[in-house]
Amino acid sequence: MTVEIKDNNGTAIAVLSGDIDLSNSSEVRDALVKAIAEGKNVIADMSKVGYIDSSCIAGFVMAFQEAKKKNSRFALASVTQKSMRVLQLARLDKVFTIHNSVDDGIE
Amino acid sequence: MGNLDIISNGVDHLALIAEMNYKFTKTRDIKKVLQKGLELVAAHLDAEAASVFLQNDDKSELICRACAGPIDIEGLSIPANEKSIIGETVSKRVSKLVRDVTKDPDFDVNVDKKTGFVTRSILCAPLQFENDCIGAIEVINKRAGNGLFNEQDKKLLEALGSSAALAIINARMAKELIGKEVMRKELELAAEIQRGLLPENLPDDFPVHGINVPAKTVSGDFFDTGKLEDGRVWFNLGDVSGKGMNAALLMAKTSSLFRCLAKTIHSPSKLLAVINNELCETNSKGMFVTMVGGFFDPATGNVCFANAGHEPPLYFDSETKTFIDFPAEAPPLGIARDIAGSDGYPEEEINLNDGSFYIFTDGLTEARTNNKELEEKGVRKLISNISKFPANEQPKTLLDILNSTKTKLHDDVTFLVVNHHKKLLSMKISAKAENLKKIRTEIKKTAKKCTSCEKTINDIVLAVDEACQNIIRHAYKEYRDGNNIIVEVSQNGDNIIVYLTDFAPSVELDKIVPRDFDDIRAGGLGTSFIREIMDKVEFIKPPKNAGNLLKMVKKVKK
Repeated sequence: MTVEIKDNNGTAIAVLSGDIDLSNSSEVRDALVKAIAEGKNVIADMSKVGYIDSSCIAGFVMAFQEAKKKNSRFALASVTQKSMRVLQLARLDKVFTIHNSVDDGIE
Repeated sequence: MGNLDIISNGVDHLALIAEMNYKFTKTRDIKKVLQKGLELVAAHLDAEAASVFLQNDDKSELICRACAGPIDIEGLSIPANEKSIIGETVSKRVSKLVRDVTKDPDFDVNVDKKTGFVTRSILCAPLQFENDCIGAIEVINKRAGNGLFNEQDKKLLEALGSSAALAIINARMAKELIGKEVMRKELELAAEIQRGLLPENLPDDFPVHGINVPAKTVSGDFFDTGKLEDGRVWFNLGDVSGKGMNAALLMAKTSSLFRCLAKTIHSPSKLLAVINNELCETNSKGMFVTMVGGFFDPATGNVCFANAGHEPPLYFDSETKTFIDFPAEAPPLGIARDIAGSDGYPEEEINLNDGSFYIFTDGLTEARTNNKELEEKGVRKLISNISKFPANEQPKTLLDILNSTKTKLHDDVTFLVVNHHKKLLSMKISAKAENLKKIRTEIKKTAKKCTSCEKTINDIVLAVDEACQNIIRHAYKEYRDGNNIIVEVSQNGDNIIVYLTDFAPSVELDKIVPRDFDDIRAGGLGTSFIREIMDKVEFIKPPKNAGNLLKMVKKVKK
């Protein structure tokens, strides 16, 4: 699993890849929260993610709440069908902003 | 005789006694020693003849077992009464010295008449040790001196008599022990052959599993199972009336008949009828066999069977927790030809669905715990406890429960279960987050064997991952060496069943509540995933030494 933060015109794009599970979800959470703390809008690029679990969802929830406090935005993009299923199970598919692609999210 | 002679004779006698004792202790061939000893005694006392008479088994006769002298009287028997010198010696247990037999009314002249030997003088001593007198030793006609035996000769013969008696008694005891040992070995061999008749090394995923615990070395109970070429599985469990060797032999016969005939007769009704008639042809001792025998079709889940006078088999539906029993409607096998009528033994049929089919012997219903018989109620409770386990583990689990509850078995116990749990995966892995990926890989591979639906496969992988996370984070709390999770997956018809065993302290069930979905806090999310994905999630009684056992069931489409 890797997390790479890229800047795209002031928006932080967090490119996630591989399987995100209990062994590494804290890395994802920390990277997202750090970018949000820097005052940036954050979009998590999920196109290369193979697997997410509840601990990854928990990291997203934390990022989502931190962004709310900072009045910035946290969104997901290019969510695979497999990851979408987990978001649906958590009933968060309607709570999080989910873009079809990173470009759609940048506007 | 001068004093010196007496002393020198005494020394000689001692040497003789010592030599005889040595020979007695050195060999178990008592006959050879008696013979040799008798020759030595005859020579030493300068007697013309000597003989040893031993009692027969019922002590009614005394039979010559060794002799020395001109006439061979070995095998000669005389009545064990006081009408002969030997008889009197044995019954009174005192030596008799007859200087002139013609003057002794007890002397039996018939022997001399038969053999042509002329007896003049007899010295006879009992073969006795402590309270046991087993015969007598006698010497006849002293050659030297005045031709008469003296008191010293008598003492010597008495001493030899008692050491010979001890040697014979010892040899008999040794023989008896060897006999018992031979019998024990024979029984062990029979038990081994019998165990060989029980099915062995059945694959874990075989639908029929059983156990036989004999009360004695050999058992009258049996069970057997095997596969037909068309994939169906035959099974039987029986109980032969009586115990011991007879029962074991009839068991072997019935079991072999079933095994052989089941290959060609696929109707339980006809199969039992043919076995019944076959047993009746040769069974003469009033013995009979109760039996449930039938066929299971793994393709449909159908069990078809017939019951010949056996304890009612039970069907247990683990979904509804209900039992159905099937009392016998026909008598046992081996009583009379065509006893079940022209239609044979009545057949019953049941689909296993989520349940299991159980057959057992009355040794189980009559097993006692706290001085009370289990009865059918106790057996039902046992079954509902073990039905959660895969079929191959149920018989052993049953035995573990019986042992742990100190249940006493008074009779052979035999138990058989039919269900279509198929074990697909069993892995033991350290409970750490880094291993979750490995667990997911294995679960995915396993789920693919049961269904082609990608979404269902991913869901099952997620649920198992979440359940393992709970174990890692909440049950064990922090990782230590030796914290393990056992992941097992089995299939029962359309159901995939996942068992997760951990060895952490037991969880408090009421603390695990599904998350309210309106609440988006992160905690409890995994548990809610599991509950939504799986059709059934429950903590069940873990095996001994384990902490928790979580069972999750998911119904899948092929």
